[in-house]
Amino acid sequence: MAKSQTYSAIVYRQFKKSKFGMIGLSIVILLMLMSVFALFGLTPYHYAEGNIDNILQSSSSSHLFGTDDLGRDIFSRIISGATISLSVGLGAMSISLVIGAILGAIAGFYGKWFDILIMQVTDIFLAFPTILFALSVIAIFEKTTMEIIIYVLGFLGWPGICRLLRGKILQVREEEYVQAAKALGFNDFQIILKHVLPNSIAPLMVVTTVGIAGNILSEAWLSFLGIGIPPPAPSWGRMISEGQNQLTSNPGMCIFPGLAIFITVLAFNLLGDGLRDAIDPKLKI
Amino acid sequence: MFQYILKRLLLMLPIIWGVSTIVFVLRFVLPGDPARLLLGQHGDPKNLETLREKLGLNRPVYEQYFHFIVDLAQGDLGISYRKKQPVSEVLIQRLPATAKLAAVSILFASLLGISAGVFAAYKQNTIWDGLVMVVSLAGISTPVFWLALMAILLFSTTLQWFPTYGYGDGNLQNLVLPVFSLSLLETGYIARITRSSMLEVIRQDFVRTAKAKGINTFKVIVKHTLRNALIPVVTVIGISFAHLLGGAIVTEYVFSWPGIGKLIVDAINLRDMPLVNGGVMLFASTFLCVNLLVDILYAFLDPRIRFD
Repeated sequence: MAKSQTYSAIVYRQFKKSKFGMIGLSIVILLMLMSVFALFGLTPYHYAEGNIDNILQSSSSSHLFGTDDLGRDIFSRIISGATISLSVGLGAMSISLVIGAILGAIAGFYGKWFDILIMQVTDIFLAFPTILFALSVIAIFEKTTMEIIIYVLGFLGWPGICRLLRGKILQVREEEYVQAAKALGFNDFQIILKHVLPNSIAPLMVVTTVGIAGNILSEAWLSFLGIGIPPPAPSWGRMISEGQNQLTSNPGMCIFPGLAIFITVLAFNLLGDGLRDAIDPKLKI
Repeated sequence: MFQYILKRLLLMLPIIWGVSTIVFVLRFVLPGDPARLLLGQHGDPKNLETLREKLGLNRPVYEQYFHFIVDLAQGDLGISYRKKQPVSEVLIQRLPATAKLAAVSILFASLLGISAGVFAAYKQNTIWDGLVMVVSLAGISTPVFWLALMAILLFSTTLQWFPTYGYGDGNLQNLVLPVFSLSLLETGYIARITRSSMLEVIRQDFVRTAKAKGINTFKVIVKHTLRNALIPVVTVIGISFAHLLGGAIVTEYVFSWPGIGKLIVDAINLRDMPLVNGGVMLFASTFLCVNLLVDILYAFLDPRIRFD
């Protein structure tokens, strides 16, 4: 008898066929390695180490991407910046996942007024542009830190996940095998864990990857406006904002961090696209 | 139709109420005394009590909340800490510049996005299709402010085709670069959704019938396919308006464009919270109104929705 495959295994097999998806995945893995290197201090220079005799240099063998207006090595700063972008992207998404999963599960499983209330709140969050919300919340703080950004973006990013999971639960709840599991005496938590989650993992991953890309862009956007990660931390958005005044003297200060954001966000979007096609080949058309 | 519009309008109220309540709560939870901020560093401390009295800060929380909501309903957004004039007046002065930028950008993005999407669908699975898809995904992944700076670097400091920043006398030359930076992202979204929507419609029987009747391809695309495919596209244009407003904030900042976006950034740097909140509320309400218009248009294009 042929071995039956789980849904996730089928999705993974489909995903491997997508060229762009695999490119995205490779870049994401590379970025993670980069941030691990940075965490262990394995960059050519320290990100905050300046050299006043060596400012605004263009690319050379000792400074691959040149130096900024304080003589800091742009290449090292970009490698270290990967840690910030990934921490914000993944950290905020984890918070969103927890909130979204809990609320989605309550709304889907217990229905009635829980459902009405939670979905109403979800609609409010979805109807309001997240980035404007984040802006007005973060602007209130005297000093922002990376933690604040992660919490704020995390608390704003859950509605999509909540709605997705609720829909999945409503769909799965009526299936015969779930009814059977109930009759056998399994409790709701066990059913969610055993039947609902495995069915939702693939679509959840799509929402998650695209959400991470969005979080990384939002952090860069906030840091560019000066209300994100405070200096001297090498946030890519902040580096662009610092390079703004040196656009003519050393354009590399703007070009390279921007490319870093672009490649990172593109990689997560490609990954999301590849996963989406793998889940539902019909959508690819 | 009238009932539908009324229902949609009523649905907007809880959203605005919810958001404004969150804004009010945050103002309470977080540190910073509005009276002190309004008075400024060099103000006379003796006036502090009078000002607190005038602003109603001595009253109980529920009373303050009540006044906050009533004021908001009347369009009173408070007084700017720095400019010392009503927030609504400041916003109205800056509105035309932003409206111009946003309107031209969304129009440009829609025209270019829909054309690119139709083209990609028509050339499905060719190199052209792939090119449109890759470029549009790249557009979605590019930070707006970076694109703006790169556009300045290339088109204004190097080639000197367009001015680096400013509104000028409102002439076209000053508008080109801001519109370009702001609309690329939206163009990408619109192109992608147009393509997939077109491909869905192209498969349907009536399109095959039209082709079989010998109508030429261009006519089939424009008259039969596009009209049906546009419905989801209209929704996406509405949604992408939110991104556009977020992008307008940084675009105006980079190009020193004298609109509400630049006003918000300046207000953030001066911690002028009533002005920040006012600007954000105005942007958010604009977004809600645009989406309401989109839904009405949607119901107009597809009568089935009205009876749902």
